[in-house]
Amino acid sequence: MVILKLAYRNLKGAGIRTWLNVFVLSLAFLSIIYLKGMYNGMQDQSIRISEDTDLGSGQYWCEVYDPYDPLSLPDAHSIIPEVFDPLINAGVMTPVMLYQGAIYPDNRLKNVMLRGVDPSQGVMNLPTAELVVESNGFLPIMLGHRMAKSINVTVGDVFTLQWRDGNGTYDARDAQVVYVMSTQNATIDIGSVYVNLALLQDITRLENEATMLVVDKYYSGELPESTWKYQSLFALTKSIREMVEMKSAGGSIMYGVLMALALLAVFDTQVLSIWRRRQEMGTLMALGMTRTTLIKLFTLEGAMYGFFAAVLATLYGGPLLYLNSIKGLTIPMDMDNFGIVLPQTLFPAYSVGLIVGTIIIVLITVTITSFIPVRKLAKLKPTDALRGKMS
Amino acid sequence: MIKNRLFILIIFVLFAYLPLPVLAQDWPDGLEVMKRIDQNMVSENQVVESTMIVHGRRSSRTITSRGYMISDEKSFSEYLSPPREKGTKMLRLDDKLWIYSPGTNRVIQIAGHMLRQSVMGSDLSYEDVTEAQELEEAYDCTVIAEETVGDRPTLVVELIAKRDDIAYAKRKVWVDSQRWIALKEERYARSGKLLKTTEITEVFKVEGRWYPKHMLFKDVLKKGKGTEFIIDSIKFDQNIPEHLFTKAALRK
Repeated sequence: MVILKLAYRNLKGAGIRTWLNVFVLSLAFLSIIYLKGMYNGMQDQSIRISEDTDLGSGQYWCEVYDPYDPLSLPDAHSIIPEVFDPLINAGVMTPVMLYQGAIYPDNRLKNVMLRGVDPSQGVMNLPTAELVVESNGFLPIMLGHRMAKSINVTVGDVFTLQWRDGNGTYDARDAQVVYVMSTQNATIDIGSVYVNLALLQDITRLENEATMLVVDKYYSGELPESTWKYQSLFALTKSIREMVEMKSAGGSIMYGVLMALALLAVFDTQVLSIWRRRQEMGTLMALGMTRTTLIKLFTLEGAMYGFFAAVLATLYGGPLLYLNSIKGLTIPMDMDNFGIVLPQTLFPAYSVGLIVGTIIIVLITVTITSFIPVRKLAKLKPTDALRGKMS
Repeated sequence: MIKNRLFILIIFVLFAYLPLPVLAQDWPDGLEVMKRIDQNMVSENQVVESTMIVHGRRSSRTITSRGYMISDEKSFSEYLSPPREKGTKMLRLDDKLWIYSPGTNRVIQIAGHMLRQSVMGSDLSYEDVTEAQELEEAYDCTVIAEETVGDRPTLVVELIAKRDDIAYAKRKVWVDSQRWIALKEERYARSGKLLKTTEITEVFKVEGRWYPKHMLFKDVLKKGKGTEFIIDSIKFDQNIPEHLFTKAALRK
């Protein structure tokens, strides 16, 4: 307890030097928590958006479908097994057909993925009901806002849609954009053209066929066994987690640099402190303080930088982080077109584990950094110290 | 007098709306016409040197190539110029297609949606290149009219797909009725929409056969002037080594 008081008094006595160290360390603290919180928030939001608009609580894929094998796509459809009928009729599942095609907006060819969706479905949070309209004999289609922007079309525009039907025969019809939806999920927007599933099955001559079945995110009942492969949400979001992990690893370089700068300041302060306080150390030892207690005192002084930094960071950083978690960080529009699920506004997620974990890591690192220059005190002779010598 | 005029009018209207084949019974059978084309065009194998002029929005590119073909089953082609495309090779075995790019030193199989991509930016897609040409087997051929293309008399043959699995549901071919060579072709989608056209603007006689010299391919749905294809030289029934039609030959 005595050394705690002594350490606090020494730090207070050091004045501005202490507070500069504490401030730099608190900045490193905040940066680490902020960046980690952003990555956590990005991952949480991306998974939530994917679950809401595309993945549901999982998907059944037809036997051939493999999204990572483009060669499988032309054959990635088959008749929906009857075992799913009760769940489809109950609105717990919805079939989706993915089919390759091409569009010619302004007579320019663009390969697209036709997404056949049931307009009455409620499993995916998409405005599919907009596909049920009269469009003057044209094929009614819906686009995402990124896709519409990239091909420079808007609601009411007509262009040719071409595909090869299930038997391989070319077919083409004029399609009209009946709705442009705004979605945060770029993966179901860029390169996608939404068509009424029944219509797509008809024009491709693939009656009652689909590529996948999306399960409602709120459904927690039993799922039937089938020849179609079930993919859980965890498996489907693997790529999102991997992407965030990769980004987080990249980010750790930045907070590694920040921490290194802050710890360097602490280290320098400790070295300087030992050098300037030689006679004080000699006096303390002459008065009966052991070398171990002296080492503890100086290490504690260093560790207290970490503690004060945590307090200071809470004082000025707490409100900032809170404000940020409410307002979020809005990404410019152009950044949104990477073909990944990236929300327009990123909301960081600060967990107790993240904050406590960061505090513990910083405290341990600061303590170790403080201890390293103090080790030489173990060999210090009180007589030398009193004369201002360091052996 | 009025009765006579009315009678003449009725007769005129009746004849005007009579189906054309009734009026033109002397037209040859469509299948016969297509066979005559085959007799003229088909050989055991061919070695062709050609020039392709791809008309882009701002400029045109000229690509020369040498191709080896055995009937409709196998083909191997190598691009000779420009320097950017030189050394690029393409191998087709039935409906499978591989392309070798010397820049990457890799052989890629063209499949799936990639088949819809254009060949070297032209109006021809890889699908068009891989398509088998046995038209008589795949289509019901009927001569539906006689027309003049340029200064040549032609028979217009309508080809309607016999089966559901044929790439184009309908085609129309204008066949030179003296030289038995197609001078124009239109390809239609199942919906009846015109997709692609081919025009042969110049023909030449080689080894006793009439053969297209200058062709213009056009993807009707796309903007642009189309792609010109010029046959610089062609040799029939050559001794083409079999190893040329293997994937290993692409890297050589």
